[in-house]
Amino acid sequence: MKKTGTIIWLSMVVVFIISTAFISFQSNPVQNPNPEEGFAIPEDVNQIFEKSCFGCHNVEASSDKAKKKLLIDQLGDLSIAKLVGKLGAIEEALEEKEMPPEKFLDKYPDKALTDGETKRLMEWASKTAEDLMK
Amino acid sequence: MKKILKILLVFFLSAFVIIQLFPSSRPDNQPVSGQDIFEKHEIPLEVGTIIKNACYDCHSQSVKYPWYSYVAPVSWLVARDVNRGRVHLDFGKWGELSKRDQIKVLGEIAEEVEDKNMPMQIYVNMHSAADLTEEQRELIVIWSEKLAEKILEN
Repeated sequence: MKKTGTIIWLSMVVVFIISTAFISFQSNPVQNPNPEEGFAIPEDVNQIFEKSCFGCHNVEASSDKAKKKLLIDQLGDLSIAKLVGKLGAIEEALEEKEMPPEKFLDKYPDKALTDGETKRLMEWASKTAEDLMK
Repeated sequence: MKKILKILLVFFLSAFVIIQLFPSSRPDNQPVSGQDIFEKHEIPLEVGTIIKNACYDCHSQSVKYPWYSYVAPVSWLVARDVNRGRVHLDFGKWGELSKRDQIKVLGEIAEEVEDKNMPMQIYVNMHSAADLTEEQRELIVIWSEKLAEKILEN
C-alpha cells in the first residue's frame, strides 16, 4: 500500500515537471527596444518574432534557458559586438531549424515559422549585423 | 549463481572484443598554415594556456588523442565529441571565418564558459587541467568580449 502511494506520488511529480516544459509560452507585445539608441526592429519582423519567438525570449518569460540565450526585448541594450554576435546566433538557429524547438511546435503547431518568415528573419538578422559592422 | 556470473563475464568480454572491430570516425588533425587563432591574434599567455588545456582537444586541428581514445566504446564518444566540437568552433581554422562569424563564436564562447556548459564534464574528468576555476572562466569571458570588440573595430 505504501509502495503504491509512493509510485502515485512520484508519477504526479514527473507529470508536473514534464508539464512545466509546455506551459511557458505567453504572448506579450514586443516593444521596440530602446528606439532612442537607434536599434529598432521593423514592424514585419517584429510580428514574426511576436508570433513564434517572443513568448519564451522576453525578460518576463519563465524559461531561464531561453532567456539566457536571447532576450528580444533587450537586444538594444547590448554592446554592438554582442548584438552582432546575437544576430549571428539567431541566423544560425533559424538556418539549422533549431528554433522554434520541435517540442514547442508539437504543442503549438500554429506558432511554426513558414519558410518565408524564416527567410525574412534571417535576412533581417544578416543585414542588421552587416550594417552594424560598417 | 557462479555460473551466471561466468556467463555474463564471457558475454561482456566477447562484446568488448567484437566492438573493437567497428572503427570510429575519429577525425584527423588537418592544420591549415596561418589559420589558427594563435597565428591570427596575439593571445595573452594565461588565456592561451587555458584554451590549449581546456578547449583544444575538440575545438582545433591540434587534438591530442590519449591511448584510451583508440579503444571502443570510448573511441566512438571521442570521435563524436571532436566532430561536433569542430562544427561549432574550430580554433585551427579561425582565419577561415568571416569577421561576423568570429564575433558570433566569441559571444558563444563567453556564454558557454560562463554557464559552465564547457568544457564538458566528461572531458574534465579525464583532464584535470580543464577543470577551470571561476577566475579562469572570468578571464576567458573578458578575453572573448575584448577580442570581439577589437574585431569589430578593425
